[in-house]
Amino acid sequence: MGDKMKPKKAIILIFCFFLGFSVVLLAKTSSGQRLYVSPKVLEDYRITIEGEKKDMENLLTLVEETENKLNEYLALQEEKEDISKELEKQLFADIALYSFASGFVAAEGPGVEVLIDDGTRDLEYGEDPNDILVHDSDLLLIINELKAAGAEMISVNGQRIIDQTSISCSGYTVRINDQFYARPFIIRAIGDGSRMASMLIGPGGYGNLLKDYGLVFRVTLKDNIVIPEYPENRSFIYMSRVTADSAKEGEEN
Amino acid sequence: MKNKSGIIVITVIAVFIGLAISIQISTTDSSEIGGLIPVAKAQGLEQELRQLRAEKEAIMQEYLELESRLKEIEEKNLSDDAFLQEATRELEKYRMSTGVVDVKGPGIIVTVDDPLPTEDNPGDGYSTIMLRYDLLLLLVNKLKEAGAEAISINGQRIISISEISLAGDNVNINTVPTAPPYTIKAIGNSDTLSSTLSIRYGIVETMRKNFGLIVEIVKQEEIEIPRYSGVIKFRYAKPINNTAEEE
Repeated sequence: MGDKMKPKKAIILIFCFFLGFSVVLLAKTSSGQRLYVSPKVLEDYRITIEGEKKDMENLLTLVEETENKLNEYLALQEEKEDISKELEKQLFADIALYSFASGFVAAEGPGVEVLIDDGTRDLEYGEDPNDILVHDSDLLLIINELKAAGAEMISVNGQRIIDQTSISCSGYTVRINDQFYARPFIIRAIGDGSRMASMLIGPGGYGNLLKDYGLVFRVTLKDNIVIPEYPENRSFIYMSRVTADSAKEGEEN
Repeated sequence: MKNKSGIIVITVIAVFIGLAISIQISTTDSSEIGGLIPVAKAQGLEQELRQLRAEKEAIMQEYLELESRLKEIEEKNLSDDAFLQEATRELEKYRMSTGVVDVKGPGIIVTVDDPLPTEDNPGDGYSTIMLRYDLLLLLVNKLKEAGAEAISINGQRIISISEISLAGDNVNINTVPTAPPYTIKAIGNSDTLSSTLSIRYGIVETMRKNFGLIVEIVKQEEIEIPRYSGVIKFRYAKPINNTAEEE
């Protein structure tokens, strides 16, 4: 009796042993965070590397430009020429460029005018009225699309969009640069008009989506668009400039 | 007895085959595009990225040094005139407003990453935050509303013409391709900035709850935000000079 049972028990023992072993092995391989990564992670790395390379190219262009200017000045200095005239000219050219870029000077040029208004259709039974109203996110996305299509200057209802401009819904109105505006919204953008227009009303454009919802959305190409300057002065409380010395030593300057 | 040992051998082989099949399935099934890739490959790319960033840092340092040498020359040759001094200060303000200088100050760092794939929700191989890049747009808008003076996303300074756009499989910011994890830096009042984002039913809660994104906000005494790395140039827009008439 005892002799007969032993091999059976041994088989069960071995079987259990293997079962346990296989569970452990499976657990080890399937929690594979450490052993394996998904293709998405690699793709993310590739895109980031591509981006860094492009950014570096941009920086190299900047370095080259600065170096050229510096060498020019140094050459002039060596010839004992008075470079203050040259510097003055550069100073005022820079002021003109950057005051323009930062929104302190009004701008004109060709571009598009976009009109967005709440939809006038009747609501379907039980439909959310938000479906046919213009929201801050709609404005944000349209402005973003315009920028992606190379807009150089943008205004919404006459408010210049600068780097610090936020657009936010507050009840029935939308606040832009701390001023309140209500529908309809007119966005003006200076840039390549046909490119901007096709971005908005081309296939998959955001304008088409709004139209499908029943909102009023119209894009007009214009030869001369005027965009006013940012009306307020700007001062910075929190940020200060990083200079070569402070970047090196990590000190406050 | 001979029969029994045969059974044992067959059992062992069967167990091994079962094991092999299950491992095979578990490694290829957990991701839809092309299975899993050894972590060593990712480490190689990480290494490359680190090297690139170090190189970029060196170029930035070189740029800053060149700029300070330029400034030295300017100061030496323009120092006596009060009018020019004032103009130099003006230019500094305009350049800061445009976003073409590196700046530092107190603020917050927000990191946004895709949800980790789990058993229940393995993901479809696409990045959530890249497909919903409008969330980044909304987040940046909220930061501006909270009074952020300078903002960057993955090292790209947000200036007045910066876009965040899905182009093919990439999210381009300032026409530079970017990928998760996203690091958004903002200089301003760090308390205001972080509470604006983390308010109940606010943008961060939406990102976490509705999209499963991993969002973290860290306040910091000093953060650095790089300058816009592109060249500022206008092809269509022209200034309207009414100052000439006023003067």
